[in-house]
Amino acid sequence: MKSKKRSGHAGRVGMFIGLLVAAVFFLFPIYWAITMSFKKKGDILVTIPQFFPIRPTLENYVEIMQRSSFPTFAGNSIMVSLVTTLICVIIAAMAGYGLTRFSVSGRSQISTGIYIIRMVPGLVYTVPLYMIYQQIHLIDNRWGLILAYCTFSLPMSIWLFLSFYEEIPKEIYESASIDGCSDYRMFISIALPLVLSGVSVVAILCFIGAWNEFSLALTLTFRDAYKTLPIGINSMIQRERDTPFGSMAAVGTMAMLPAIILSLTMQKYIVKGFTAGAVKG
Amino acid sequence: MKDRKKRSGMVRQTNLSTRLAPVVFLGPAIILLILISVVPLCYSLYLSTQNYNLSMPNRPMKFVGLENYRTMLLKPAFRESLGWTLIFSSVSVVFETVLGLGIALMLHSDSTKRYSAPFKTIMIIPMMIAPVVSATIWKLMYYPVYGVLNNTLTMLGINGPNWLGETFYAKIAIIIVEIWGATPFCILVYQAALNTVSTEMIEAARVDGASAGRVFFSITLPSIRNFIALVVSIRIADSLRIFDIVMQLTNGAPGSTTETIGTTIYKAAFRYYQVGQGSAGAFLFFIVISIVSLLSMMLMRKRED
Repeated sequence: MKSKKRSGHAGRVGMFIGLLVAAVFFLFPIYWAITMSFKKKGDILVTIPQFFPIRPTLENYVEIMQRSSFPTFAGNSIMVSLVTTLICVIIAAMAGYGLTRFSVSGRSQISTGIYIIRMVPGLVYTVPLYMIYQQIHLIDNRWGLILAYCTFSLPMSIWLFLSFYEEIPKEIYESASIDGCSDYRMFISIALPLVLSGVSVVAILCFIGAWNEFSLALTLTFRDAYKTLPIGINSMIQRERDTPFGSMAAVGTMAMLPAIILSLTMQKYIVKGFTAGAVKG
Repeated sequence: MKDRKKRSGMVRQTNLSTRLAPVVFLGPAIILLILISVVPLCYSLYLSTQNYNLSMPNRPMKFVGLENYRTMLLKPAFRESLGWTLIFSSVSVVFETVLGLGIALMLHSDSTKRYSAPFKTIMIIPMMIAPVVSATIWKLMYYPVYGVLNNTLTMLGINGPNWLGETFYAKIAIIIVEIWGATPFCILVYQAALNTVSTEMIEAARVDGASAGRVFFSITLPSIRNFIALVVSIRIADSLRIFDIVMQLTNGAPGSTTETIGTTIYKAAFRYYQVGQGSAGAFLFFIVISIVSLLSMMLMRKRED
């Protein structure tokens, strides 16, 4: 009895230590980049790491705001991600509603098609989209990126909306249609309000997907004026001979900001989005 | 009479708008998917049979059949990158599964339940950060002289390796970034999976004197087997696509030893301007991903018969 209790205690301590190590592993790189962005150059290029910034400074941020294209990259990223999210949520919400409400002929083919499109690696699209965009002048164009991002977020978003709409009891639609409610009214005033949390889930995933996207933006934008943050960070690393640690940390911190804020405030929706998406898909 | 006519007109109108409703709701999505997804895919399939050089846009395309596929398959660079990508994928997925399951189990135990919420918040962050950005912040830590990793190792009396300069360590460095970003997803799904395991069965086994290990292998693991199969096949499919991290961390260096299938195809099309070869490579890539992830799913899933 006594030994069992002790082993239980040891197990608890072991688990606590295990979780602590895991937490440090996941958190430290983020902590390190953020603190580095507030350090003076002399405090970064040291051989004994300075785990807490002793002389905090904003000079790295001043540097990237004034002497790099960071403001342009960030502006492009914000515009592209927000517009993509808005369009994708509207279209996916409508399509999901359409698929659950109407007995569309070939509905299962549509679902299969959506599933196959989801499986295709984004890289497969880079070459043909580059060729097509070149013909219709969408290279170096924010709308070109938005169009592509919307399309590639759609399958996942429709999939998620389907699972949210399916939770609405059929009787609600039936009684509304007896009262003479049209499909459009039903969508706007009955279905949509009932899946509002689903809208947040899809919006977060769309936004982060567009904010983080790299390979398409790399092939579809060439001039600094149209690049998004991930491409900006990549060209920073390729261009400079001496790695500008401080400004890289500052740009990285700014690029992580949406992920950090969303994770801290919208945890419930993110977990729902990832697990529902995984379990459904 | 007049009244009746009016009403029938109204009925017809609502009929029309009712009949159009599916088109209105589904139309935009279908149009976008066809224009930006189906058309480019078909076009890419066509391109993969053509000889076309991006740097000489005026030269007409030439039909070469399956030549591009043959060229890609015979290219040593493609084969080497295929081998490394498969190794990368298997190593990362094994680590992600074991770590993910371990952490999920630790968070599931009664004594640690209260840390579960803050821990979840912490580990969601790496999953949400752009792979390019996570590669950037790890790169800052990997630098040989001023990087925190080697400096810490020096303080512990260990001589750190030149992380991104030597093939072996560069590969490990890439795998670590991948594990860092992807394990949180595994933890999330495994946590959801563990909640589906019947607690009564576990309690009954405990009462009968089964050890924790026994309970895990005889009850927990079989119950969440399908979840594991799912996570593993999703992670295999995703990790085979690795592109962003390699482009940012090593860009294929040292030499071209860390080039993955993704970066090789990208460079074939956009550095060497061989659009046809790039397209052919991309389709081969798609086939490899589909086969490997379907196979893993079929092998690991419990047969339901």
